[in-house]
Order: sequence, then structure tokens, then C-alpha cells
Amino acid sequence: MLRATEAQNAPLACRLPTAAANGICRRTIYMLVSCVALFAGFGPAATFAHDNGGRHDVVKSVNNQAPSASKDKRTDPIKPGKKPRRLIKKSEPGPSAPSPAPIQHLSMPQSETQPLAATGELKDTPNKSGTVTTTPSFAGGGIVPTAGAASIAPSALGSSAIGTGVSSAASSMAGVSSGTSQSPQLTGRSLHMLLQQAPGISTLITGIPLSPVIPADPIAPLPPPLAAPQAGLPPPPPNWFAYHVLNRLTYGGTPNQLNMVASLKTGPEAMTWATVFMKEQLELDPTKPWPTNLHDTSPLPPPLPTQDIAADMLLAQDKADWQADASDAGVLSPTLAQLQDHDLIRKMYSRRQLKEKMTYFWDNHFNTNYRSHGKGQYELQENEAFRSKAFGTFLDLLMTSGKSAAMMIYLNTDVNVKENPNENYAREVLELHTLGTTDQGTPNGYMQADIVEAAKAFTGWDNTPDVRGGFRFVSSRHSAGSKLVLGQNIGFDGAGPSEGEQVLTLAARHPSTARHLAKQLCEYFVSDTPSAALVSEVASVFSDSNGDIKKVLIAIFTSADFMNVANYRGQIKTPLEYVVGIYRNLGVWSSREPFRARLVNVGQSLYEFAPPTGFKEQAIEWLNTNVLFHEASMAYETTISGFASTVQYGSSTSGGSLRLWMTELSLATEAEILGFLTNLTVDRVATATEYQLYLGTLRAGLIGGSFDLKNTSSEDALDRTMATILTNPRYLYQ
Amino acid sequence: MSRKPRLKRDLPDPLPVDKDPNEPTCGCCGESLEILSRRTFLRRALRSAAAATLIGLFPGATLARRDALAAGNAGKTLVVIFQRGGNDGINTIVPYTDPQYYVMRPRATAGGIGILPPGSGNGAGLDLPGTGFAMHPSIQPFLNLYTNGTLAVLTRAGYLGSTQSHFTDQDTIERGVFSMQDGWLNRYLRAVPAAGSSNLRAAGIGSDLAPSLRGQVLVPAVSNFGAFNFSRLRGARASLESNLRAMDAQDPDLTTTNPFRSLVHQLGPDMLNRVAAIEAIGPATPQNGAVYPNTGFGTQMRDLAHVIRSGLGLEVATVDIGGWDTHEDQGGGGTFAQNQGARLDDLSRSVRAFNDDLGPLMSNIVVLICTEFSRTVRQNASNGTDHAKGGVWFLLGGGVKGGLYHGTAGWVPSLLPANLDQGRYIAPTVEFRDIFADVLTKHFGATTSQLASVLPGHVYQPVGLFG
Repeated sequence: MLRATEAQNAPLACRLPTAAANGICRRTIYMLVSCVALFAGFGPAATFAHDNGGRHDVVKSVNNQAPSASKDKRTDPIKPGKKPRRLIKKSEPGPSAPSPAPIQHLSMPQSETQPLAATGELKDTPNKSGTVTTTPSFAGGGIVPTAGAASIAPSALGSSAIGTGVSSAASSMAGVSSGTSQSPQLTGRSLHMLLQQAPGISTLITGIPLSPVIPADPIAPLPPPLAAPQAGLPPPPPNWFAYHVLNRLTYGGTPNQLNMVASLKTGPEAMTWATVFMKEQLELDPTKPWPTNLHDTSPLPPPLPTQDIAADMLLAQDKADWQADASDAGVLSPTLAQLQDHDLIRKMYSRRQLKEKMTYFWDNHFNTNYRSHGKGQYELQENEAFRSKAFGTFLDLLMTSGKSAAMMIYLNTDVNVKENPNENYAREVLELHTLGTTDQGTPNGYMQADIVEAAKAFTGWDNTPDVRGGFRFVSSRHSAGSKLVLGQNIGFDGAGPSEGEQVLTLAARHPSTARHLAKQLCEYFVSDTPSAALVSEVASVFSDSNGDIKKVLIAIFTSADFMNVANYRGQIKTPLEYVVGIYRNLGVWSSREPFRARLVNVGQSLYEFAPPTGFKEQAIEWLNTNVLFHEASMAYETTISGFASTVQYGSSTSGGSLRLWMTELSLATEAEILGFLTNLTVDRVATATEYQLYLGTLRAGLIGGSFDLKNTSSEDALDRTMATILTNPRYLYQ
Repeated sequence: MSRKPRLKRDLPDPLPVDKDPNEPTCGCCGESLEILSRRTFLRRALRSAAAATLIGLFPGATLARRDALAAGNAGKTLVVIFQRGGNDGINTIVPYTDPQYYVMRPRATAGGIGILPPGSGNGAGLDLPGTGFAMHPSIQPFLNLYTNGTLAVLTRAGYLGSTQSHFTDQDTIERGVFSMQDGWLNRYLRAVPAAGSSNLRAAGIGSDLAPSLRGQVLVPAVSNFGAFNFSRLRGARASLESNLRAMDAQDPDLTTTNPFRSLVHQLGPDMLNRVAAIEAIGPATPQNGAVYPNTGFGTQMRDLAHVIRSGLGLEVATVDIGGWDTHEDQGGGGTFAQNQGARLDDLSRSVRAFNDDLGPLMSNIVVLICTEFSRTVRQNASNGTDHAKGGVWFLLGGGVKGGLYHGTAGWVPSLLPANLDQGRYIAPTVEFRDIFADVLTKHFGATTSQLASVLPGHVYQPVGLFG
């Protein structure tokens, strides 16, 4: 896929056809179409850009034949001459056919500028490492490549902010700026044409049929100025549903996504955009109606993947620092901090935001603790499996968890032997992973006897004695005799793991499990107190579809409850959602480390939560002084330079200065600036009191009490205004 | 049996330590601006009306203030420590004179997890003379407290409906009644008024608030007292704090329809007030030669002692210590100690240091150590134990009558399966709500009607834990 990027000074980077250029909005928006240099020997340039809320900086344009152009060793993704390392041998057979060479969007935060290695290297290394599974492999590569990109109606395109990542292709779409105007200007329509053309071109070049690919976000205009609100309870904005979908399906909108949403003026427009967005996030064709076969086991259409090259590159680069396991040079073993950072890259940068939210859901539902085994690769292996199966079937997810080394060690399956079985896993799999408990806290459909018998069925399960996290069955440890679990007789099978598998299958199909999972997913996406009707309907889809998670999610997102304005901003962000949200909402481009450290301090440290419950999702778990203290601290750390802050956001050309960023965007008046900043954070909702408070903060300390962007003293005033908006209780609402 | 390397399991996570930012210094003298700003703050605080209580830094002064108050809870503090995961009772207080114990738990010297009888050298229990029981050697710091009569040990605390689920049993204990959504300590704060003005009547020590403290009364959670401040905001601090207060001061109903709006609007100013109160007391300085273990739990107990001594009016606090879910490699005593021994060591040294640090102030303080359940009498094949019912709780401090409490039914004659609940568990005989009620009535002087508000529906049968 091509990508358009702002072209302040950049020449046309490769020989792609350009489209007619027309103005796209009131502000000058212009784009340079630049080919991502992933086609060997073809285009010379890769241009990195970052979503800066309208102004997308060109970071660097480098010739892909000169990888040494990198000035910063840190940013070199693949060290020359370095052999790709295999992380973990996959136990499953490889895909039957190689993934078609994806057409790739490419963009990077400018701070992470890096030259592109030669095409093959860039594409191959992650594959050879055996760990990068994010390049979607599309079964049946011959499918018409334009299904996603080409068939979007022009009217929808303007409102279909498709990418979601801060550094996604969306962000690489040219930005807004005043001053330079060398590049062709694109309308939504001409952009659309480009997107249509690119796949064909790349197919010509590579000869490989392309997957249908969800194209990049178009660049959005800046939001209008914010007028002083009326007194009283502010009404939800007319386009609330589009904000709502970003709030719930992602870890926070990026500046460009939020600008896009702000440009939707009416409810129907917002609904159209949001529906496209939801379908894309679910890997469904946005031009087709919602599937209606939710209550049966017939298949959904094959997934239509979203390219995520920027995140993939960051991930590959991130792994360069990982050490091999001490006892097996063929296995990379990340430390806890490296694991956490790796996960944060995905949450912060991935365009597949819903997939990331679901990956977290599963990894948390089947919680394991790094500290119980100390092997980074075990946690990584689980996490990657949950990601690849995030929209799969529940039984598959449950089996993956039950047989993972991390889980088997964490809940003692590995030492559960026939002489006197260890009940730990058997109990938690029934109580937490599947059937669950009633509102009275009593077992919902199982008894202590089921736990004892299930524990016997799992005897003999173990991880392989190496450090690669494989599964094995040790028949000499397996408990003889048949077992009675959940009312079913499970015949003795001393030769294989099938008894335990039967237990998991029985549990996965149990009606209590459908209700338990339906309730948890509704709490995650809809409300802390989902209606009984919603839970029942979702549970019945879960049961009827045999635990098809994508169908379950469709049922949730198309429910009347999810679309009910009463649920808009009706949840409370978890610290994870708050901290990652700041990173995304503001377009942070400096180090992720302050954000990772803050999650540790606030008590939502990834991969090391000891209780098998995983982190709770409900507001009441997180509304406390400690959490608020750390969230406010994160807001201050991001915005106030005196707060020992290293966090920088906005555009890189403004060096992290909010004042220069506003200058670049030609936002000058108080109302324009507030319109932009509140759109990044609180959906442009403010009470009259809040509006006056923001105004007062903008004007404080300035000569004559009037705001003037040109005055350098306005820097502090802007920082304090941003900090005030972020610490508004409103920003906690999700 | 697995022969994989033994790993410490379920070890508690290290206390999150906020990283110390590089402290900027004053350009002229090199003195830390951090300190300057704190001093500036203190000067300002001294001028404020609230400062009178904030700066009650001297224990003597605090005691004098407390003596002047008449209510039953005046000057009293309760610290509830929760051992999360289910501490194994019979390896904590060991019935070593029962031969059946060593059937269920082969001696550590024989490859099991049985605590060896007192006097048998490495790994031997610490005898509690005349009782037939011994302490796990890793809680040696408790032995003196037991001997001098300030430590009560309940061997069969719990409740009859115990489910063997960590989460249900923890919730039941912390709520007092499972069906109630708020915690018993929160109901206490509501039912019994504070005896005097307080800047910090209750606190949850940890990154989340223990369910026992949740409810209508807003109680702060604080994980790290040393980093709990906004001093780094410097020049921006005043305006940002006043902005936060102004936003929270709006009528929540006129800002949003979010169902949690009222609580959210209370939290902001509450947090700023707590930050100010805790900033004002400065860093902890243990007294009486007390040495806390350098662990997360030890640090929290140290900071808690400091807060109590500083006279902020702390009446109720909770602290968690995890790592008790010893399904595997539970370990014995001495050099056989593994997971449980390490946790008991941290627990007992930290609590003992807290006791020594506060010295005479302990006469007004009660420490209650509880856990959701004990563990199966018979060890499992992975040298661990599984979930069971009632277990060992401790009570320490002012007015507590030390000794062993087995409940009216006494101890189990012998750990034969026939004597056990379902052949697996030691049935609980001391109802946990009665322990709570003893504390509420004897330590805090709660009236009958106040007790009924805290533990509605409970028929109180005194345990007699207080002299």
C-alpha cells in the first residue's frame, strides 16, 4: 500500500502515479504521496511521519539503498550482518502457504527514525524470527485485493478513519500545515483513487497477489473553535457515537482519528463512520452489512486484515535488545520490563486496536504471573497466541491457555501428579476461566467433587523440560480410572492428554460459561452493570455459535445497549487505559518508559499480577486515591516541564513545545486552541465553569491578561491548560 | 513427580517504588530544590489553621491530645493485615505432639513439609510450653510477643460456610456479610463517629483499596508514602491544585451522567488533602532500634507506624501481604523453608519491628492478622497444600489477652481423616465475625447498636480476646 505523507520538502519518493490535487478542507491540507520503500530496488524513500493531530511531520526521507543513513544506532532496526534469531520454535506446522507480500504502510514516530533495510530484510527478519505474527496471512491469497480499499464508497471514505495507530498509516497521511505547499493536494476522492491503485501497482511489481487490506486513514481537518458552553449539564455531542466507539474499542483515539470524528457533524454521519470503523476493527468488510448468522455455527466471512507495518517495525526493533535464554541460545528471553514495553508498543501503536483490547482481555482472563516462572518467552508465547486467536473460538483460547507453559507452572498443572493431585488449576479453571460463580459467590454449576475429579483428569500434563514452552503428556503421572466431571463420565486414557481436553471442552460448552464470559465482555465494552437482557442475548450468541468470539463481539457492538447514549462516557478508565490513552490522545513521541513505570507504580503492572483473577475491570476497583494520584502525576509528567518530565508530544518539529505545535497548526485564538485540545481529550465537552477555567488558565500571567500565542510566556499557560484538561474528572470517563 | 528446578512461587511483587527523579538543585547553593519547596510548603502549612493538627509530630503531644478525648475509640488504631492466598495454619502453629500430623505431613527431613518437633535442631518448631503446639521457626519474632502475653493466636478462625474459593472467602470476611457490597471497616467508620478531628482517619496501604475499606466513606489508598507528593510541580502547583478543586467543586450532576460522578468528584480534593497531610509529616524514622525488613511489606509497615505516630488521627488501616497460596513447594522450617517460610519471616519480622517501633503507643493499637482459609491437612504430591477452611489468625497489641485460642470445641483430638471436615479440613470453630466484634466493642468501645450496623444480622458470641 502506498502511503501519503506530508511533503514539506520531500520530493515524490517513488514512481507512483499521483492523483489530482484539490483542497480537502478549510485549512491547508496537503499530502505527498510517497511510496513506502518495501519493494526491492524500487522506490528510494521511506518517509516516516507521525500523527500529530493534523500536522504530520515528515520525519525523514531516506533512500532504502543506503541503510547507513541512520544517525542513531538505537533506531537501526536490523543490524547489518546480524542473523535473525529464532525466538521460539512454533509447535504448530507453519502456514500452508507463505503470506502474500503485504502492501505496507510505513510510518514511524519521528523520534524512532530509522532507515529501511532492503526490502527482503525488512520483510523477512520478522518472519525468520518466528515471532512476528502480525503480518496477516490471508488464506487464499488470490482474493481480489481491492475488497477493502477499493470498494469503500467515496462518501464513506472521508469519514472512515481506518487506521488507528499513532504511527499508523493514518498518521503518515499528510498533515496540516501552513506555509509549504509544494505537494499535490488530495481530496478524499483523489486519495481514494490512489488507494485503489496502489495494490495493483505493487502486485505488478512483486508478482504476488495481495491480501485485501484496510487502507490508511485519510487526513482529517482540524476541529472548529470551541464556543463557550451554555450553563448546566452539557448535552452529549451530536457525533457522540463516533467518540464512543473510539473510547471503547481502542486505547484512545489518536489526534488524527479524533480530528476525523470532530469533522462529523451529525448523528447519522457519526454512525456511518463508527460502523465502518467497528467493522474494520473486527476485520469485516466495511462495505457489507453486519453478518446476521450470529446464532449458529456457520462461518463468518474470512478476515480482512489491517496492515500494521509501523507497529511491526517497532516490535522487531524492540527485540534487538533481547538476550538469548541462558540455556538455549535459540530462544530469546525478554526481561519483565522488556515484555511490558513490547506489549505497550502494541497498545500504543497498533492500528488493530480492538485486537489489542481483546488480547489484553484474554491475557488477563487467563492471568499468569511472570514471577512464577521467570521466563519471558512463556508470557510472550501466550500473549502472541491470544492475539492470533483474539477473535477465535473460546475453546481454542481455553486450550491454548491450559496447555501454555506459563499457565501450567503458574497454577501447578506441571506438578499435578496421580499420587495426590494438585487442585489449583482445576479449581481456577472452573471458578475463573469458565463456569464462574453466582452473584452469591457460590460455584455456578460445579462442586468440590468436580474440582477433585478434574484435577485427576489433568494429571500428567506438563511443559516440556526445555525452555521453549512446549506441551507434553507424561503418562506415568496420570491418574488411573474414569473421572466424573460436570456430570459426564470421562473414560481413563493413560496414553494422552485427552481427559483434560474433555474437561476443558465440557467447561467451555457449559451454559454457565456462556453467561460468565458474556457478562465479562459486556462489562468490558458496555457498562459496569450491563442489563440482564444484553447479557442473556450475548450469552445465547456465545452458546449458539459454539463460543465464536467475533460473533459475540458483533452482538455486543450492534446491541441497543452499546448504542445507548446513556452508556456514552459511562465507564471509568482503568489505569492502563488512562496511561496508554494519554500516549495516544496527545500523540506522545518520546520514550514509553515513563508510561511503563507509571503502570508499575499505580498497580496495574502487566504480566506480574499475582492473583489468578487478573485485573478487575469495574470502576470501583480503581476509583481510589492512589490511582488518582498516579493518574494526575502522569498528566503532569506529560505536560509540566518542571515535573521531571521527559515526555514530549505533538509534533517533533515543535520539539515537544505545545506553543510551537499550536503555531504550526495555525491555531491562534483561545477558542481554536481549546477546540483542538478538548477534542483530543474530552470529546469537546465542557461545562461553562470548565470553559472559563481553561480560559483563565490560558490567560494567567500574560500581559494584560490576554492570550497571545506569540508571547513565549504563553508556553507555561498552555502547559497548565493541557494539564488542567487532563486532570478534569471528565478525562477519567470512558 | 516433576524434577524441574524449584522456583519460588507466588512471591509477592516488590513494592512499587516510584523512581526518584533527578532532583534539580538550586543554581546558587546547590541545595535541593525539592527540599526547598517542601520547606516552603511547611512554612505555608504552619501558617494555616489546619497546621495545628498536621504538625502534631510529637508522640507525647499526641498522647496528651488523645487522653483529653472521652469516646471509646479516642486515640485508638486498628491495623488489619490480610495474608492473601490462604496461609497454612498447621505449619504455622504446629500440633507436633499429634503423631497423625507427621502422617499427613511427613517430616521435612523425610522429604515432606512437616515441621520438626522442638529441640530437634535444624527446622525444629518453637515450643509453646504446655500446649502441645510449636511455632514455625520462621515466626520466631512472634515468640516473645506470645510469651509476654500480648499476642493472641486463634487456631481455628473462619466461618462454617467457607467455600475454598480465595475470592469468595476473602470477600465474605472483608465485607463481614457476603451479600453486602461495602466492607466491615467502612461500615465501622460510618457507624462510629471519629473521636476528634482527623486528617487521615482511615487508609488502605497498597495500590488498591482493600474491600474491607470500600463503601460510602471515602478512604484513601496509598502505596508509597515517600513518593506521595506533588512537590515537583513547583511553580505550577498552586494553580493546578486550585483548578482541580474548582473542577471537582462543580455539582457532579451538572457535569456528566457518568454513574460514578459523585465519587470521582470527591476523590480529587480528597487526594490533595491527603497529599498535603502526608507530605507534612516527612519521611519515616523508626524508633527504639526497630529494624524493618527491606521488603515491600516491611516498608509499608514502617510507613504506617510513622503515620500513626505522627498524630494524623489514623484509626483504621489495612495492609496486604501476599504469597500464601502454597500449592507447591511450601517447605518446612530452618533450611527446609521455602515459600511459606519466606513469607512468615517477612510477616513476623515486619510486625515485630512495627510493635517495637511504636513501643508504648502499642497500648492503643491492635494489629489483626487474618487469612481467608487454611490449607488441606494432607500435603499434596507437589509438596504443597490445597485450599481448605478456617485457619490461624493473630491479634496483637493494646488490651489483647495473649495465648492460644482453639474455640469452645477445642482442638481436633487427632488429625485422623475421621476427625476432619470431609476428611480434608480442620473445621473452623471461631467465627470471624466474633473476632471482629471483640475488637469493635473492646478496642473501639462500640455500642450494641453500632455493632449491629457494622455486622448486621450477626449474633455476637464473645471470644474473650481482650482482658
